[in-house]
Amino acid sequence: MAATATATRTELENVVSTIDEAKAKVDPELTCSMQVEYPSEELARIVMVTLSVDAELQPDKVARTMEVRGGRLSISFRATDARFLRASFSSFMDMLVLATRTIEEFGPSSIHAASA
Amino acid sequence: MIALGFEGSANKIGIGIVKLDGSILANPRHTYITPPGHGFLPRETALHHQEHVLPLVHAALKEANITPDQIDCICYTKGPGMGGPLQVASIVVRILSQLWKKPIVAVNHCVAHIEMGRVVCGAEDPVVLYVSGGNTQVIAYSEGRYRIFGETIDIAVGNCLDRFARVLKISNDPSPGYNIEQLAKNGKEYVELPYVVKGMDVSFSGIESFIEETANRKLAANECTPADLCFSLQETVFAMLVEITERAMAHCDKKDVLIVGGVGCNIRLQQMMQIMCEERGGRLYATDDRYCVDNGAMIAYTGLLAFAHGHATPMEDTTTTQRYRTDDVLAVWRGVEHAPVGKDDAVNGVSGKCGVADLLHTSDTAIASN
Repeated sequence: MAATATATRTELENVVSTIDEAKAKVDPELTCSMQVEYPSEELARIVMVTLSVDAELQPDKVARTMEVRGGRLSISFRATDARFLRASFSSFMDMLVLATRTIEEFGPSSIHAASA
Repeated sequence: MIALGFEGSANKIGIGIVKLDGSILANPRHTYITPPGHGFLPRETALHHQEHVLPLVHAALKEANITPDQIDCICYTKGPGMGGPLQVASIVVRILSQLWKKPIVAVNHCVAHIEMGRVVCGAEDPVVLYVSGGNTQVIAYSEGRYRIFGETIDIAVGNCLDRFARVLKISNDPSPGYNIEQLAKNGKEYVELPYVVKGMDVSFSGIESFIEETANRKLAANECTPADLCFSLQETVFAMLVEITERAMAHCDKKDVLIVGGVGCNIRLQQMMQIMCEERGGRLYATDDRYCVDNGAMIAYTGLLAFAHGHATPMEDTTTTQRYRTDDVLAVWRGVEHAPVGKDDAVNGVSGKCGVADLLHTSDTAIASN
C-alpha cells in the first residue's frame, strides 16, 4: 500500500511525497521520502544546511538523510514506528515550508519584486 | 554597527533592528493571544510564529529604512523557552544568514532582558529582578557572569498570575497580567494567602493552588470580589519578590535595582520596589511594556554586544535549547570590569571558585550536589 501526501500550500506544489508502508506488516522499518525542486543548487544547499542543524529528537527511532543534486533536495526518513515517523515528518515539513517561504521572500528572485 | 534580532521563545514573535549605542531603529512584534481561560501551547504558538515572522522582517526593515547589506550580524534567541516556537526564529535566521552572507549570534533570552534594561534605563550595575511568565530570578553581575542569587523553585510569578487569570476567565488581551493589575486597583479586602520565601528562593505553585480553591469557594459564597483576589495575589507575590531582591542587594552591596521581564511593567510591583530602594538610598530602574515584554531589539542589542567583542555562532551550533541558565553565559562585553575568569570556567559554564559562590545557584548541577 502506498500513500501519496499532497501538499496544500502553493509554494510546495513541487513536492513529491510518498510513504511506503508496504513492509510494515513484516518489517518494523518504515520509510518516507520526498524531493523539492529549487531554482538553483545554491538555494537547495541553503535549505539543506539550515534543516541539517536540528538533529532528530529521537535518533534511535527516526533517521533522516538529505542530499542535493542540482536544484533538487531529496529527503528520506527511516523509522521503526509509524507514530514517530509521522511526528518527525510533520514537524520537518513545517520547517521546510518556512525555510522555503523565507527564500521566496528574501532570496535572489525576490529582490526585483521588493524593489518594484 | 547594526544588528537584526529575532525573539520567539514564548507567545510573542518580535524582530528588532538596533545599533551598538543602543538606539532602536525598529522593534515590531506580534503576540499570540488565546481566548479567556486558555493558555498558549507550544504547537499553536509555533504556528503563530510561522505565520507572522516573515511579514515582521519586512516591516522591521521598512521601519528602520535599511537594506540587508547594512546589517552586520543576525541574532536569535537560543533559549530558554518553548522548543517549537524557538525553532521558528532559528530557521529563518539560518536562511537569511546564508542568503545575505551575514554571521549569526546566538543569544540567551534572560541576559538579553538584562542588557536591554541596562541600556534603556542607564543602570550601571544594579541587582536585577527578572520576572516574566516563564522566569523569576534575582540576578547580579559578578566576575564575568550574571549570577542567580535567588529564583523560583517551581513556577514563574507571571505563570502564577496567568493561571489565576484563567481561573477567573480574565481576558488575555493585551496580557492576563495587565488585566489583573487593572482589576486589582478596585480591590478593598485583603484575603490572606500563603507567603512562601525559602531563603533566597520563592515558590508560587502552592499560592496558585490555594487561591484557585479559595476563589471558587469565596466567590460562590459572596465573601469577596474578583478584584479583592487580584489585589491580594499581587500584594503577596510582589512582597515576596521585594524581600529576596533586598536580601540580594545586602549580599552583594549594590544600591540600585533594575526590573525586567513582562511582569516588570506592573506599576504596583514598581511602586513597592521603589519604596524599598528609597529606604536603602538606592534607585529603581524600570521600563514600560515596549522593552520589558519580550522583543526583538533586546536580542539584537545583546547579540551585537557579543559580536562587537568578536563572538559569532558557527552554523552547526545555531540550535535552540529549552533550558539555558543565565549564568551559563560569559558576559564578555562586561569583562573589563573584573579580572578574566579561567578558561575551564568559560567552557563548562560552571563556576564555584569565587567566595560568594556558596550563596549562588551557579547551575543545575551545583544545586543537585549541594
